[in-house]
Amino acid sequence: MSDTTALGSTGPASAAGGSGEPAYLLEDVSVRLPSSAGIRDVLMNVSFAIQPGEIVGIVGPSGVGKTTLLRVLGGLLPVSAGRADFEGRPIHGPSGAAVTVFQDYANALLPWRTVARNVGLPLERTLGKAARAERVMEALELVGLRDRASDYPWRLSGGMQQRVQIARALAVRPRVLLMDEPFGALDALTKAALQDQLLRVQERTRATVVFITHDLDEAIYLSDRAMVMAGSPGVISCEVSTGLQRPRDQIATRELPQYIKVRHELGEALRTQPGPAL
Amino acid sequence: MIGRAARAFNLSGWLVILVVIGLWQLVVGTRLVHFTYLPSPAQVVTAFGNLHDLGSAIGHTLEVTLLASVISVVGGVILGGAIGLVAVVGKYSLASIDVLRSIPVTALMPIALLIWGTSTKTEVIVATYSALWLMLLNTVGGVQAMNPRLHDVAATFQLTRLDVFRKLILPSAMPSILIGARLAIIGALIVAIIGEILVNPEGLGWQLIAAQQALQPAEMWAYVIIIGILGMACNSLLVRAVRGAMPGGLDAAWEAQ
Repeated sequence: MSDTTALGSTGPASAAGGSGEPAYLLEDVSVRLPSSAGIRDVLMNVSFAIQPGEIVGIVGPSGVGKTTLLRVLGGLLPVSAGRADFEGRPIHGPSGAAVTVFQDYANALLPWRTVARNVGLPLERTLGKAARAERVMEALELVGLRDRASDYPWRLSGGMQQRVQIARALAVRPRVLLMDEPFGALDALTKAALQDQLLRVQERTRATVVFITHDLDEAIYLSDRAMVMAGSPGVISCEVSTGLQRPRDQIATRELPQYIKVRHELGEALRTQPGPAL
Repeated sequence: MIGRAARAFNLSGWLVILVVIGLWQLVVGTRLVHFTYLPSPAQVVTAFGNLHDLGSAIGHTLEVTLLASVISVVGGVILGGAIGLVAVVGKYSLASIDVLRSIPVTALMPIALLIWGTSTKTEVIVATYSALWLMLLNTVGGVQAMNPRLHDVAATFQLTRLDVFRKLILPSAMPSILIGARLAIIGALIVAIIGEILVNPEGLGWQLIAAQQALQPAEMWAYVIIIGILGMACNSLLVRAVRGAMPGGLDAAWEAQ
């Protein structure tokens, strides 16, 4: 339950699982959830492996179970059938080493706490005051919000609030960041800036990143590997390694032949699906 | 601070009150309107000088109000928290609460009088009874109004149950609890006054009735004004107490609502 080794490490989490063991290994995972029309299959036979340090984007239309899949990875939802392992062990609840960042940043932050105290929330049981303050500042530094530490979150723009949430996740030095449509609610320019910031943060922390998006371009631009989810119940219908070099560039990367090729491939996969009624 | 004080002082609002008092003085003073027992504002002002035992009357009413408020705030938060958070408690208690709180406390006063007699205890019991519902229901609403997303946040960071309560549920419920406390303290004052009129011959309510029986309408108005000021004072006392207890946090919670 409480795998908190990452909290005790002295530097940002390095790519864990040095034995070549995948961060996540899913085999035939199915999830059934109660709905108004009885029990519904949300995920069906989902299988994949995610390597430590990898950035994986999951793209697909609404209602195919992307969020459900991410909740399984985060230990927020048990699987109904199949096998879901995190670092070689079955997932039983949140691990502390894999932290979820939610799409609705305004609901996920505590409006009565300052930015610094929001970021410090997960550290209050594990670190003393001074060590905590230091860690909070380090996390805020990573997202470029050091100077807003004493502001209340609702005084910040949407993009900044999401950065606060990311900083709060980073503060526990997780080995995995799970992000549910992290930039979905933001405007295009803010989104681009945060995408680049996320890549820089990942460069420094070497954390594994799994994120969900509606945005095909975001899935390709950020990822080492992109997966398309489709259907109801949801399955992984297509998986593509982007093969793009890092660091990436918002303009140049998107003009590369490789980028266009991957975009074509994923775009076809998204188009040919008999997706759910939107 | 100056900005806040300036905002708090509502000049146009107070002007309306002054105009109404002026008109009242005009129509009653000139006998344009005449009731045997309606004094003019000037007579009411003079009557303030004739009030006797004012200090002990205020002290009694204030004591009952504060005691009933403290009991109902503490009790209401504990009971309301249990009802809002523990499903089984809510399941068994909410129906009884709906029935009990629909009974006006004034209807229960004769019963309380028979059981506990004409005593301050009776007064405190009925005032507490009335204020407790306000506290309890606001607390239940507050703890249930927490954004469900925060449960996910608590889960992903593995917060303990105690921390979830202290750091997420309680602050989320705080604005609602404070509204409850403000209503409760005013409710306790109202019922304390009624209690003094109906069951316990002490305090401002009793003085008001005594003035009525002595056919002194100006004195009655003076007591009414004092009771009103007491109500405002209780309210601002509470606001101050809470500001002192949670600096910064309270304003943030309120503004975010």
